[in-house]
Amino acid sequence: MTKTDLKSERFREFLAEAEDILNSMGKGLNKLGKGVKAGIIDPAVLNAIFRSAHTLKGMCGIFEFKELASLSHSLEDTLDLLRLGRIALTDEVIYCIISAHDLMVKILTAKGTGDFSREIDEIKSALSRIHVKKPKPREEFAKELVSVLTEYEEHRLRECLREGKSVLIVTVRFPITNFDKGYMALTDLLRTEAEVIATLPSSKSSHELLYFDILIGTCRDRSFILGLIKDAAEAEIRMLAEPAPKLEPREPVFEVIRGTGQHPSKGGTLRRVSNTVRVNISKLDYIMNLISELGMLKSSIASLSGELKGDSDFSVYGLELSRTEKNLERKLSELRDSVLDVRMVPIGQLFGRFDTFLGKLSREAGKEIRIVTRGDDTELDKLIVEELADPLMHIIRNVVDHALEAPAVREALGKPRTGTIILSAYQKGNHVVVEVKDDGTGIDTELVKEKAVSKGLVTREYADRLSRLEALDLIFLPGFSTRDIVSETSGRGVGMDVVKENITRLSGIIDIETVKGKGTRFLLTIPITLAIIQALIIEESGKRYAVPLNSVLEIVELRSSSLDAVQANGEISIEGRMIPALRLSRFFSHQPSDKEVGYGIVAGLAEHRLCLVVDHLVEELDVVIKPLSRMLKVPGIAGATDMGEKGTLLVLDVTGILDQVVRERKPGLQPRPAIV
Amino acid sequence: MKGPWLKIAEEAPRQATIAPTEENYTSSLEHKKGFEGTINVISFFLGLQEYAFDVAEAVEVLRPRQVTEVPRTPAYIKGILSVRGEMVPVLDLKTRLGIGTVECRPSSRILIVAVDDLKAGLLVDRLAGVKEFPASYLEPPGDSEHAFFLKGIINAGERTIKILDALALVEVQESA
Repeated sequence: MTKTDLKSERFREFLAEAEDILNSMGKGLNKLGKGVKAGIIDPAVLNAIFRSAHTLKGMCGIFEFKELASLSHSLEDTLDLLRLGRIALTDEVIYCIISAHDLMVKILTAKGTGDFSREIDEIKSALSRIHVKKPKPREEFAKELVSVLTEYEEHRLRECLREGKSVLIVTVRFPITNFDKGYMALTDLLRTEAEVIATLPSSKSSHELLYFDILIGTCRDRSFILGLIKDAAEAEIRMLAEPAPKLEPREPVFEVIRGTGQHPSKGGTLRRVSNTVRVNISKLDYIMNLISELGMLKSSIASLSGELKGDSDFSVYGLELSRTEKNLERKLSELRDSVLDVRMVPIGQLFGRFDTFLGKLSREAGKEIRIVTRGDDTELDKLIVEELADPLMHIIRNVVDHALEAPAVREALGKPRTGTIILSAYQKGNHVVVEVKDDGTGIDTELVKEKAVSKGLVTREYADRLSRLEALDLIFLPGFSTRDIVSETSGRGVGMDVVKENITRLSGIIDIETVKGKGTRFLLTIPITLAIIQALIIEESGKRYAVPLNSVLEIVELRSSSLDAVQANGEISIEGRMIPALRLSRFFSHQPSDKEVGYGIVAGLAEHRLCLVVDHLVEELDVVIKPLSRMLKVPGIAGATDMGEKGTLLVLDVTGILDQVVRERKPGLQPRPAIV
Repeated sequence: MKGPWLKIAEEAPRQATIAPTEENYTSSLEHKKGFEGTINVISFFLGLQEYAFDVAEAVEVLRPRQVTEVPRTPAYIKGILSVRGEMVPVLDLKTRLGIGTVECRPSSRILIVAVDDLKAGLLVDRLAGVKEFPASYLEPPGDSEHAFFLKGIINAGERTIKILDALALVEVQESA
């Protein structure tokens, strides 16, 4: 990829992300507008809008998108004043903010072309005309209290009182070892019935116990709150109205809890804007490498402790070492899980992008389509989410072009005029299932067969023998397209074969369910992460490979008789079911060894099964998969993993091997293009 | 502009059998930019013929080490090597050019080249060093042996150095 490509790629990412932010900002403004009319202003919504403006400003700065940056900057200023209660939230102010938002959307859609300076100046001057109130005198509360509150916290305190809520001080204590968890649980609980205004540490704290004073505003009374939290923590609750609440100045620990590195300043501008860090994913990859190397060191320690245990002079040390090794293993897996957790993003980030894309598509196709998303919170590795973007786009294009009928046709069929595409995601074990469901025509398998035959992809005899499911599989053949006219949006049959290739590259599986006249479901089953995987190290004719465990259904021990069967007819009986079997070395055109005993690794792809026969199982390890160079596109190999001292191992792509074998064993199907 | 190693290479190019350490090769690769009108190359031997790459295409030099074979690949691909966490294919340059195979000897080296986003290690018999020539020395490859892989030939008095085209070597020919 050249540099300009990279730059434009990053710019596109920025546009998408900015679009997401403006989207959620628009939703927030909507809510806020309704709130103003009803006379209730939710500070959480206002804060969210403020954060959006702030994030957008930062992003625009990075990408030198000056127009948007300056506009979001003034908007942020106005929102900050609103947040602090320095300006009143009137209809007029809301209107001003909404028009600023509209203009920002307009600028973004123009993607850096066009001149908006006049409109920006107008909005900016409108924003600056908003009348700023003078801060109220602050004599009502004890000075000690006011001096430690930020301007925002003080404002919320007054607001709560103004709204007729009572302000309580909840004094709690936690052991120093797990105060963070206890504190989070408690505040979550409090938030169900109250607004948490501020948390202040107390000087009563000792080495073992930390004391906090939590200021809350609530409509409930003291005894109710006491009942609410009695299981979460030992607490005392006082009314703030009581004389001279004893509060001490802040201590450093306070900053830790809040997760912000800023120090309160006199002007009260401590902004709790964002406590997130943007990290390049390659840094996380590096950490993953370290974890996998640590895992290998751990297994050396394990074998050492095993040896020591066997030695009568040192068996005590051996036991001790093996206990330590077990602890290390636990901590390592915790470390791995928490780093993985950092890489996870909700798939809603991706789903959100299809809104505008679909709007454009449906206009072009002259169809009425709405999109519904479900399970937006389902989390996947950031890299996988990005890899899913293209396949999902291709599927949606195909659905719009081929599956959904024109409005008039739909009405004639008694369906609603507007076609619906439902995008949903849910977790299933170590995988996430992403579903694209439409209420269109469904796939006519007879038509599919006809097309495949007429395009010369399969023979007539072969097509006639296919089951319904097998016939559906034909749409994944390269060169297949169910429409003669190449449409504007589906492009040149950039079709389902590419989708399948992309999903297979992610070690994923794609399934189709379709009912004629009712609609179709595409089910993509994808591993949650590829960053670090559990792998089984196996040996076959003297060579070692890593097999990702997430693609393995079961492992069986094979005796010589079944091994002979594999040689003879390429099938094996497992639990009474005959499934295709293959020696791994044969797949790679190596000479197989003549071992008496072997192991069968059973893998599955949709309804297909394959038993891969290998000589030995060596060990189980967490490995980091690295892609092979473009020069080496080998079917059946997903990548390689660096094992440090032990060299480099190839990682098998079991579903890829299965796919290849299924193709090769179906007579009548044209073989795939030869590999280089 | 010129590192100490560069001088040695120019004064006595044939004495490069005293294998320099990896470090000073790699550091000499940092002198990438020559003056206008000069070409900087890193040169090496395949048998008796001297070949070279533009220094801008060379990344680093490694001593030969165990590679992991990859099945179902062309014969010229020896395998893969993990170089600082990246999986780099290693090619036998002689096989790639169709002139035999490189025997692994103490003097042989793996020269890592990078073009576009492709990286590859090339197994060569013996490294000579980084050299600078007037651009006028460079002639088109004409119809010489394996001209497809050549950018040109440098004629410097007695010696000829074939300048290889790294992109042509690593680019995969998509079979139609």
